[in-house]
Amino acid sequence: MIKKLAVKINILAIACCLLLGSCEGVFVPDPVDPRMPRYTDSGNNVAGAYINGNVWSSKVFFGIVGSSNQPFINYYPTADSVSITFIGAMKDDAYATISFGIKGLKIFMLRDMTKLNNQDFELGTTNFGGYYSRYDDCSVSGMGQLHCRSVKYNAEREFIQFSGTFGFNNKDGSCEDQQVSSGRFDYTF
Amino acid sequence: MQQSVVRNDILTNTSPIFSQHLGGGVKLHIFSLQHKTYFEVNGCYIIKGYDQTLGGYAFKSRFRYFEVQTTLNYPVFSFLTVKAGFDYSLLFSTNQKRSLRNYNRLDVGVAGGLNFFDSKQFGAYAQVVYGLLPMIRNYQPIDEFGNFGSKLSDLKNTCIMVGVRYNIYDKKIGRKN
Repeated sequence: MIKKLAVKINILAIACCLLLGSCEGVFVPDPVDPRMPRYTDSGNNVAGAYINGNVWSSKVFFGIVGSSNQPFINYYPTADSVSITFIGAMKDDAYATISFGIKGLKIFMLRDMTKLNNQDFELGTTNFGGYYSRYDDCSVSGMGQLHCRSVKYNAEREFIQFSGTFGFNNKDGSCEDQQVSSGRFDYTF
Repeated sequence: MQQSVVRNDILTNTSPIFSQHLGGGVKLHIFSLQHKTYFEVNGCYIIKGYDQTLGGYAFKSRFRYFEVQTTLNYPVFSFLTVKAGFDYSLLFSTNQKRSLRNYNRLDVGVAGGLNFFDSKQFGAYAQVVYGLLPMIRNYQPIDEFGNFGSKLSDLKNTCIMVGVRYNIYDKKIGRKN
């Protein structure tokens, strides 16, 4: 009976998305700064950070013909590395991405991402990097931290809920000065 | 109406708001009908909150409560009654989508104030409600490198309320002796 109810709810949700033309991430405003999403670990499809003191935010939007701001993961098995990219915008609507590179953990497919659960990484080292890109790609990693606080894999429907926090600085002169601070993300991949 | 102020150590660029409340109550002469002191129970719908400016954008935070206030009242003069007691509020909605989960639903405060022309058909009142419980629930700030800080309990309501009262039943309710 519970399975039938779950199927009915899923059909209803899909019908709502189709009828309303869209579904979007669940943005729970941070009570201290409502421009930013509060940190959650429910797969809400939102992210936020301060870039040089200005707000960058991301909310995934699903439409009938496609989606926007959906994050993505690229796997590079021969190099034993993976890159995770979040897509968002500054308040002036300028498109900007925040991405992370992780090497040496043998992550080759989605379920391998559970290796990141409850792990902290020092960014700007040989194996871990954090990157902010607005107009030009910046290939130099900032120095900082990535905290992967929760990675839950759903084997039945093959998706992960991935949430965490981050922050990094890049002041080596190769890219524009970047301070990415108080970052938080909560996505379903 | 009232001025609502949220006391806190963590918000920036906030300002108090003016908002409304509406309700009713009953006076109970619990000691005796001849005794001057009486007990009052009031209930109302009230809006509290604050305004905030961040990065050039204005944000309005509004919290809608059902409030019950219980006070002990003593008429000092025929036109002036002093009261003091407790205030219990239940938060049932906010104006920001999905933000209700950020806040504690119950607020308790101490209340004190003055009633004017309490025994007449029309009267007025002025009172202060000083909230004791924090509004924010289980909030951990995130530092510049993504580390969680200590859990915060903050944001307490203070309301300065003024209003008019209309007595719809002018007989005393309470113990005869």
